[in-house]
Amino acid sequence: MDDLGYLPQGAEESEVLFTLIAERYERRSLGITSNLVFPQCAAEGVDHSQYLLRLAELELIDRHQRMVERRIRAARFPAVKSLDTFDFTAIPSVNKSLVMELARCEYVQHRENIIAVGNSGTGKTHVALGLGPGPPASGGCRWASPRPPPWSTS
Amino acid sequence: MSVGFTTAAALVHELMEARDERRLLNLQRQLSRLSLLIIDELGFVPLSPTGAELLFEVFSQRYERGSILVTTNLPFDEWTEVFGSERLTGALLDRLTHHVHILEMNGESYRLKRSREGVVSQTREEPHEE
Repeated sequence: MDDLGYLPQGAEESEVLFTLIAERYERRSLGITSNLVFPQCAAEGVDHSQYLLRLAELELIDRHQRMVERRIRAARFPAVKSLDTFDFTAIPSVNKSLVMELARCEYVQHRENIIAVGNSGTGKTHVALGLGPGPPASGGCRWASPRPPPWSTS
Repeated sequence: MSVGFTTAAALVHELMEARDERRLLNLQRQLSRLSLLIIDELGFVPLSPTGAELLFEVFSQRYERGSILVTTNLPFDEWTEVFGSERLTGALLDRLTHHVHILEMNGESYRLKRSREGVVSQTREEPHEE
């Protein structure tokens, strides 16, 4: 890839470039010539290849995040909620260690059930959403291939 | 893993519609493929006898085959009011609670609390805006 940096690129072009770099990451080689010193590299004393690697990694993380969000939508979750944002101190009756253990999703592998019971507004739905597979950062279980639930879109 | 989220009312509605359109078997088969079915808000609306039977079938078909996560405002002894029949409720609870983790969540409603706090902070902020 010759002459990277002579012409400014729009957001869309940059995105295409990111995708290309991310797709080649650890699969194929890439040679780039450029007149630019990456400003961040200069500031942090990192060499170009490490900077490119970092860009590609960021793109991969972002892509995974989008994939998870797509699947959460496909599962018809009304919102994307993680247990990280659940205020356990507000509902002292809930067993936090049990919730965190369940969040590892072993209950699904063992085909066990969960019943969250309590009066309205105590965060039952929030916990239910958090106990399903969540954003990658929250750890726990993972999504398989996206398969929309059977009920029709309204 | 594949997951589906629905409210109890929406699921029952969907099951009834599928039955009327003679595609109930199809829907049941699709539901059984989910490794986790989340049924939100069981108990707010009482079910018709047909609705209760259809929902019972979902629970029964998932027994030891797939997980169910139920959120409800009702303690177990009041589930009969939702499902109508004591016999049906007993059988359903028997299956659902065989391998179960129960999360007791009681306390003040955070929605109410937050909206109350919101009102307070709004009145406090008013003088600043001028």
